[in-house]
This record gives sequence, structure tokens and C-alpha cells, in this order.
Amino acid sequence: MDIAVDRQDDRVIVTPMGNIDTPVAEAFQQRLLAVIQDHTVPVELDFAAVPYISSAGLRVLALAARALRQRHQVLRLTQPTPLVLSVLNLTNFTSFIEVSA
Amino acid sequence: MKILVVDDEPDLEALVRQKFRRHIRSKEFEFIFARHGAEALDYLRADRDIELVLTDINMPVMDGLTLLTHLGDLNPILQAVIISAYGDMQNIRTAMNLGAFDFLTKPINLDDLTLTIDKTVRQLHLQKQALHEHDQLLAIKHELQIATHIQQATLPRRFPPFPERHEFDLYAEMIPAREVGGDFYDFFLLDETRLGLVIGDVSGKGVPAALLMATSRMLVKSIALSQAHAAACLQQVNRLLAADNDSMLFISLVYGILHLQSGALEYCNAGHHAPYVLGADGTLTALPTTRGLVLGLDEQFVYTANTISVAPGSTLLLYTDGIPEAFNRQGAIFSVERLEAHLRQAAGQAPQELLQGIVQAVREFAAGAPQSDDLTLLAVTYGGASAR
Repeated sequence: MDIAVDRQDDRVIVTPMGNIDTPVAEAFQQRLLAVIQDHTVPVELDFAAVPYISSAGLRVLALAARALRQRHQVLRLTQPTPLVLSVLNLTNFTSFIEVSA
Repeated sequence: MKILVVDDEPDLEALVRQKFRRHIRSKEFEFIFARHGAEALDYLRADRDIELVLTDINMPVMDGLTLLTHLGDLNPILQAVIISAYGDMQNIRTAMNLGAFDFLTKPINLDDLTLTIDKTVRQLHLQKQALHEHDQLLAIKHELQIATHIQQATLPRRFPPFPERHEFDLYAEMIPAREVGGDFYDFFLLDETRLGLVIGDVSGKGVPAALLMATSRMLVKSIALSQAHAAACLQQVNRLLAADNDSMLFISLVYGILHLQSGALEYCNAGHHAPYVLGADGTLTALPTTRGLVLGLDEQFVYTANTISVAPGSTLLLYTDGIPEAFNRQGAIFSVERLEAHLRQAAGQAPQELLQGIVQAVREFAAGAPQSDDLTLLAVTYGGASAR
């Protein structure tokens, strides 16, 4: 899967492109956790180009959220597509990570 | 490695013993000599460790080509190299077609003999490695079968589960996907008047999911028996699951307590699809969410419960996402909307009939597309406190 990483002054924006399901979850996990490890500023996920996320993908979000929590930061996810937002609502991940339009 | 040399003339034996004396001394090769095909077969049947056969073609009793036809039955990785007269293309082709790996021509060139044996030995090593990897794959497959078995065997599957109870009729079903998922259901009488109902779905697939599913199910049941309230139960389960959850696997789950005297249902939903209440008249209500996070992620999360009233004759339905997310060959999903439409026209059906009808509707929709996730359902029809 394609993942863009944009370093800004106060945060890093990670933009995955495509469905995040079992076949790509591993690659997404490695990339995202590496970005978190390589920076001290908060990490933000731009999900505008993610039509679907499976439970394997949610697990990666949980791993990232935990890594950030350990340094007292919150994982922020922006621009979720309708299907992704419904999954985040159903699982109540919206109370575990910060989701905004 | 054991190598069988078959030739009716004794000079080949002398040649081999001389050429490979170092290999023989270091026990890298062990040579066995036979004078014709029949004697060679006797050796091969007696010693299954022989992996390479070097054989002449023209011999008394049984010739080399006939010997080749018997090798396949003996040892699947056995390799044969034949020795033929120079230019005898006819026999060489026949031998190769019978499965010989290579050939040498007489008079034997010693360097060529060494090269050919080395090459055949390398081939044998490759084959053995492939066979070993194949065995490992079989072992993994077997492990997955065990995971499926864990998932299946621990679920209660005797219906009716409480034949002496008349206040409710209960049926549940879990149809596992080919790749092991982590769905489960459970039900238990907490005491004379309260029935516990659980449906859950562990994230991920395979052995880790099956193990976590078994753990979660036991945790919920054992804590439920000592906790009067649904939210307190899941809060405790969540704390235990989240404590050492390095892999961040999680579980979506609904736990409900049906009060058999009053029809009150207290439930707590941890990130799972909302259960339905289907009235005898076809009215369908999705239970309002209690906004619980999936279990296992946040030790500090505070769970809350909600209570609704289930009218006698109504059926409570719990299910996992394998139902709405079942897809057909065009990639369309069954969807919550189709499930709800099906339920509305299925009012009045007993739990078993209802569940089988849903599974059939999903199967008809999928129309042969492979089942990617477990299909799990639990239905209870509440008959009322005085039902007989």
C-alpha cells in the first residue's frame, strides 16, 4: 500500500492510500510504528483515501495509539470516509483515539 | 548416504570402491552392490535408507529397465542413474521416461561418474528439504484444525440447553470460516431467574484468535457468575484482558442478562453490532448502543449498561459481523438492511427456524462466494414468566 509521510513543524501527517485489511495491515503497522519512533511530535493520520478498514487495520491503530500514549500523546485521525467512520463508531474506537472531520 | 550399485560385471564395484574410497572412509557414502535387478529389489526392500541407485541395463534375472519400473513404489525420493552402452539412445530414452534422473555411458569415465553422483546427491538434498517443508506445512495445517476444534468444541451445542425451563426457547449457531476466526457465543443460567447471553468476535484470525476467544469466553462466564451486573462484569473482563495485551488484539462483545420473571434485559455492548428485538408482530428494534469500547485495549475504560423490556413472544437476536459483511461474487455485502428486511418477514419463527432461515438467506445471497468470516448467531424467544 502507498503511504505518504509529511513532516510539519508541530506534527507528522501519515496518509495511507487504499483499503487497510489483513493483506496490508502488516506493512501499514511497520511504517506507522517506525514514523512514531522516528519523531517526537504527535502523529496524525489522514484517512481521506481509506475506503475500508478491517479489524486487522483497527489493531494497527490500537498499537499506534498505545505507543503515543506512552509518551502522553493522542493518536489523531482526520477525514474518515463514511464506512471507516461507521466502523470507528461501532467499535467505539472514537473514545480511544481522537477522530475529527 | 546409501548408494546401491547394480551390475552383473564385478569391475564396476572395484572402480567405485577405488574412486570413492575417501567418501567411504568418512562414511559420507555407503555403497551396496547387487548383481541383478531382483537382488537390488531385495536390498531396497530390506533397507529403506538407500536413496540412490546406479544400475546397468543388461543383466540376468531382472534387467535395469524392469528394476526402474519398481522403484516408484519403494521410496518416493529414490533417484536412479542408469549405465548404458555408448549410443544406445533407445534404452536411454526408455530409462528416462521410467523416471531415471540421469545416465552414464560405458566405458565409464571416472570424472563423469563423480560429477553425476554429486549432481544426483545435490538433487536428493533439495528433494529432502522440499519434503521436510511439506511436512512442516502439514503440521501447520494440522495446528489450524486444532484451532478450529478449540473454537467449536468449547461452545455449548446441545439444544434445548435447559429442557426443564419453559420461560424461553434458545438456539445458537456458529459456522466457522475456512480460515479460523474468533467468533463465539455463550449462554448460562446465572440463577433460577436470570439467563446470561453472550456473543463475541475476537479480532484477527488463526490460532491466536482461537486462543483469545477461548480465554475471553471463560473469563466472561466465570466473572458473570459472581457479578450481578452486566457493565461491572465487562469492566472486570476488560481490565484482565487489557492488562498484558502487547499484541493489542481486541474483542467486540455483547453481554446481556435476561430476567426471566419480568422480561427485563440488562445489557452492555462493547463495540459490537447492536442486537435486535423482533416482536411477534414483526416490529424490529435495534438495542441502543451503550458506547462501550471493544474489550482488551484500555484498562481504564468505564463501561455502562442499559435496560429494556422484552415483551413475551418477542425474540432477541445477537449476531456477529460475518452476517452483514458476507459478500457475493460481485463484492456486494449482505448488509444490515438485508438482515433487517429478512427479520421483519420472519416474525413468529422459533429460534432454530429463525437462525437457519438467516443462514440460508446469507448463503443464497453469497451464491457460492467463499465464506470469509465466521457466521455466528444466538436467538432467544421470551415466553413470559408463566409460559408452559
